[in-house]
Amino acid sequence: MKLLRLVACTLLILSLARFAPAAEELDISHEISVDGWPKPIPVSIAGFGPEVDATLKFDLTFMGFTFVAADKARYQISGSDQGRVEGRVLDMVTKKVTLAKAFTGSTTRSQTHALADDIAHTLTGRPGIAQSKIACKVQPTGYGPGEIFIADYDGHNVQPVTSDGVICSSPTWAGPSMLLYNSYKFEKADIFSHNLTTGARKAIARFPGSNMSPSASPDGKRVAMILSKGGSPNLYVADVDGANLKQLTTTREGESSPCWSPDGKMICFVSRQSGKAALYTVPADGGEMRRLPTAGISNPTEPDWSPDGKFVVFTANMGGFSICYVPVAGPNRGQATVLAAGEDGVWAPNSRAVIFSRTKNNQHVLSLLDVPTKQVKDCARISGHASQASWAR
Amino acid sequence: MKTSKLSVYFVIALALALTFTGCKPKERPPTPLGDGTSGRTPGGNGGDTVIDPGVGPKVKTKGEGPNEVPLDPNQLSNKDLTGRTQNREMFQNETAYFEFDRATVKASETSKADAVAAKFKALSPAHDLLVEGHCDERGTEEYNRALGESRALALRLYLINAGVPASRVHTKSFGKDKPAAPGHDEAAWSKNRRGEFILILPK
Repeated sequence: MKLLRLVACTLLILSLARFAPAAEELDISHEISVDGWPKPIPVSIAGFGPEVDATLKFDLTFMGFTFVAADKARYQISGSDQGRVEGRVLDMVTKKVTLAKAFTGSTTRSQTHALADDIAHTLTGRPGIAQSKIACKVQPTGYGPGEIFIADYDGHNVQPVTSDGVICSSPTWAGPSMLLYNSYKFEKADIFSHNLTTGARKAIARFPGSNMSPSASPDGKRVAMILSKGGSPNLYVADVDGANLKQLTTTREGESSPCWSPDGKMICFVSRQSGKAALYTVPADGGEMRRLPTAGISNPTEPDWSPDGKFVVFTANMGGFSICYVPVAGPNRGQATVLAAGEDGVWAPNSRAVIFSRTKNNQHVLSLLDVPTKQVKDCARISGHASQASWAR
Repeated sequence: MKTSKLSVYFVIALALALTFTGCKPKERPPTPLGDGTSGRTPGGNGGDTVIDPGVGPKVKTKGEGPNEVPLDPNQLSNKDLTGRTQNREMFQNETAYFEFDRATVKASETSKADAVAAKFKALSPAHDLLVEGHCDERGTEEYNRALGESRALALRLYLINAGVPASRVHTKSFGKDKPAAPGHDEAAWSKNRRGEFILILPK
């Protein structure tokens, strides 16, 4: 049993090691153009085999691109995948090649993701997301134990993280190789940290009652969480190892699902203080709870703050779940917009795409949403109910 | 003309101010915490317990006679129930049901909680009681995990008021992870918004 676990752990470590494809610079001329949310950039794609072509289009859909015929394209993307993935981007206005790269090593799929990220970063100035990872909860159909898995952002390369045989939930990344999550391993909800490199686990909140909904700060050094040890589910913060615990809310009605502002100064969460769910913010070091309005939309839950600081995406519950978002500052603060049917949205590092879960044939599947265009595509199916995605940043 | 316009604004402002102060939800008192909880962290091996509500570590002994240590019913017990045998049948007819999105114990359910309290108090003090809170599928996962805990806590508080020692009632929430009925309609939902009572046998 011990040997088995050791082997499993070693395999996990090996598979986690980054076999990133090596990039070979051919010739580059930069054009960083876009800021904010512009219209998708029209591009054409030619020369690749069907799998690379499909992967590239899937990736670019969530990074600000739309696909048109070559004569209508702002940029023409061409390349090949014979032995290695090669790509060139021709700017149709300047008639210059703005990107030309070849990728070797790893898999064709990861070479394609690397090309997509380079194209997105070069043409939009925003970080690429195609090589990023997610963590999620997977529960068998018909319910039962839930376990934590990690995968590529598009649902490929799934790897198990837990095998507790109980409910594990609410994963959150505290750095590139550290996860925090809920596990019922000790009879009730506790919060564990899990070093993905060493496999070492530690209970960081194991207080009486339920220890729920961990959310790691953007720098990975602190954790916001919901603890019921004081008699109602309230918001607390602590260092990521559980030290220096501080209570931030004291309502009797209770709080849930915290998330952090990108500068780590504020926490957004749900409180039932007014009798029903509403969004609030509070300084991470303590202070007054302040309502974040969601005009026109009731029962907001599961907020997530965009890495650029501008928006909070959340789930509205108005007879069904909807992914919505609301600006946190400026003239439209508090004016919420419905984006798609689904629940528990989380921002991608590019502050443009959102991963969420939706129900298809009574199963929860992970899907991606391009917020400006409201386009939705499903991730590769994992198994059972997949939900609670957390995006590695 | 100018004056009357001003006074109209003033009246509107006053009316608005009155409206908002009138609408402000009643401040409820925060739940006090005992001294033992704050700043202490659980152990790294995952097996440590954290607080002991029965002992006030900062109580100084002055003079003679015993010191009074106040017990706060809101403060949860730190007893570790890992490895204890559960009896899920004993109170299976006393499962208490809740209204949608509510965590208050309904009047219709109090007789069940009373029955649990009476049966439990008749047992030896080596027994413990676990209250499991559950929700229907119409809330999001972590919202429901907190709501399920609020339900378990509400039942716990009811039991304590019915004379069950606070140190022996424990709470756990499953959110919507463990539905009792598989359907997707009110018939199933009403069975899933529940609090289950589980007897924890002595070691």
